[in-house]
Amino acid sequence: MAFGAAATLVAVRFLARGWVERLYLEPDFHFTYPGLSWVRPLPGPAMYALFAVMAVAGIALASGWRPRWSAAVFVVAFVYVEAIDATTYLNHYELITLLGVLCVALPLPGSGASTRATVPVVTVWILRFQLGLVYFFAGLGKVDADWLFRGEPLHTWLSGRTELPLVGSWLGLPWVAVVLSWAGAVFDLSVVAFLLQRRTRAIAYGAVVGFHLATGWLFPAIGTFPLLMVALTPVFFEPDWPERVARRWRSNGLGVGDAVAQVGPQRQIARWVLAGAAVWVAVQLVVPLRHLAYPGDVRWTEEGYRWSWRVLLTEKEGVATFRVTDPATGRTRTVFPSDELAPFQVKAMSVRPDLIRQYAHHLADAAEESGRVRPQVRADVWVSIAGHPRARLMNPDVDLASEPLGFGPADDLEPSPL
Amino acid sequence: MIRSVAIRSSLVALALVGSGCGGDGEKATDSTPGMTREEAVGAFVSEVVVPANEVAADSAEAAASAVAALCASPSEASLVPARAAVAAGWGAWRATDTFDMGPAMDRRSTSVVSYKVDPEKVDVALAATPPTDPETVRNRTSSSVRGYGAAWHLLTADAAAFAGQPQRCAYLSAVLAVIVEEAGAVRDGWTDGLDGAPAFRETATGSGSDALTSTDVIDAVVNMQLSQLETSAKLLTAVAEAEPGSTHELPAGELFQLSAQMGGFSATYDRLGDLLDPALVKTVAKEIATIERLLSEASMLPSEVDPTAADAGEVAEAVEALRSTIATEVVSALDVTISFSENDGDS
Repeated sequence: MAFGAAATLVAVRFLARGWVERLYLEPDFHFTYPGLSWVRPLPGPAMYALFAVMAVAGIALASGWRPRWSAAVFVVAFVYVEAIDATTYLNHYELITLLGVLCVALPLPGSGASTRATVPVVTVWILRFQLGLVYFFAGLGKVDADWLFRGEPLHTWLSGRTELPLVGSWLGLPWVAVVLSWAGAVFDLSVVAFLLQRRTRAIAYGAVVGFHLATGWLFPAIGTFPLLMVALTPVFFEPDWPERVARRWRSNGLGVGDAVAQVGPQRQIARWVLAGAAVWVAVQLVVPLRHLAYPGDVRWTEEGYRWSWRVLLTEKEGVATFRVTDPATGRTRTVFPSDELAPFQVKAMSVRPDLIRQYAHHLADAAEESGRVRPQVRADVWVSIAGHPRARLMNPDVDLASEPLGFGPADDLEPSPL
Repeated sequence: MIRSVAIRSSLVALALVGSGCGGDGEKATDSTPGMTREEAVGAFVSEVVVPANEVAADSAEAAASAVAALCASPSEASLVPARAAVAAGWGAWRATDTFDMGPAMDRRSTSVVSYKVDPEKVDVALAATPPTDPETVRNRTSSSVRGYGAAWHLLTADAAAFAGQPQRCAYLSAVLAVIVEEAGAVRDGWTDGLDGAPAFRETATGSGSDALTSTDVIDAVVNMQLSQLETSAKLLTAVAEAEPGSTHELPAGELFQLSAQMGGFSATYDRLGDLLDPALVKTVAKEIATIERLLSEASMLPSEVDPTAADAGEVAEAVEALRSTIATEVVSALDVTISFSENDGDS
């Protein structure tokens, strides 16, 4: 129910804030994921319809109407939209996608289910695992010198919030950022353990609510993420918690008639379900750690950065220009990406080597398609990360248009200044 | 030969507005340790923005007076100071580009004072029936034939043209009257408020119902600077990379205006620099000084723009260096939201 509501909220926000137009319909060029370049925006009305379908599917899911089908419709539409442009990637969209997939794959109680409806225990534990993973990897990502000892980027971000009432005057102080950095890391790394123990669960959930309310207040740009986590974390409670709440309400004369899922020990868990769950868990553990297989600091290289739950972790600003050289004449012209890309694309691309490479390919492809010799494309990219002085991100002498696109380790990056 | 005296004077004026900036990049920073964003923005508004707009308004009046003197007694002796005064006024106005918010933004003042001018259209208007009263210039004249650019173009004629062509003086005077009115309104908007609105200096420092936060002001200023630098970098790069013999030229006055804008940049980081690491402030000051040095080697006045005099490629590189520093380190340090980046962000 909570997930369905969150799914609806996400879709409605896109429609209400004009993001369908701005993010998907207005740009002439979209950054894609390897192998997904065929995913293009639908024509205008169809894109709006797609988001409307997502909203309706979310409502259906929240109300328990054909939950598997509702979730499937939502996930297919949401993944399609997310695959259109890699610059719109966000961690909580990934979480929504994965939870949607789980809603399709896992047995869930449907509408009309009695308050005694049961689900296999694996359903509850997979959902707990998925949410717990977000906290754990977010905490793990905070274990670095910038975060813990310089209080960066939190200090930078909090310095911009000094006008907030009550606490504002404290937020600009460097030691406050360090203390909050440690608090954030400790919270992320430990909260799951406390949520799993009955004795500490209520306090831990209170901390979850407090933590997410605070981050939502301090950093409004993170949008629905705090709400999503607050709404979904009760999955750590005993599965019959809604019924107990309902009983309490009924004893106060209030009627609540919602379906309540319970773990049913009497239900047999099929082997294939267990096998599927094991594979899912393994993949979810390996994917966020895959950056360890690449050389260099993942914050700099971004190789293995996506899908690794590094939530609100890095302050990275960049600027990129491209030099396009005709090998036949030797003439070079400079391309400013803002001439073609939307501002949000320029901002995202300028700090992500894979997107910079992709744009270099696009420039070369465009020249070739217009009948010219395929040019060489080099990039001048400067990036400042976590408040460090700017440094070159890409080797300016490498022809990026001839570099492969994909998941292999890159050799066109400059050394990390971190 | 007209040289860079006029623009220098306006920059000096702006430098006085700020807290002082050496020309060699070794800025005498009087940063205030522990200053909050609100205090820094308050100081920036009261010590930089408001005085800069006062300088722009005063310079416009001085330009109008000099032109009146020219028209009353056309001669080479009155033409030279008129040109200098108009260039100084134009430079003072462009130095406020960085703070193009509030009254100037609301009134769309740039379209009246300093929009891109088409000299050929100015000549056509002059030869036909030029607008000779302020009301016509303001309300029934295209932005491409009014403002400082048009005034400057009208002043490029020799002194005899002013004696023998009364409509030139009438047109020029009307254009300047509108500039004086507009620059004055913008100044008053900052200091006293316009049309019942509170003074924008109060709004920009967090007072009143429409108050801006210090973050709003910083975001607006830094985004404006990045936009200006990118525009200049594109123009200069296009000239530097133009094929030999091509007619790709910088729009009239581009180097002049860039130079004037650097005055605004310097003044900005004199005050907002209090929020930045001193080493970063020093880097920014040095990069601004580099641009100013390169431009000072070229002829500075609009009609004398010759991109080859100031190597366009070299200036473009210097502009790009400054843009890189601001777009990365300054944006990061001041936690600036880059315009239109409004999708929820958690990565």
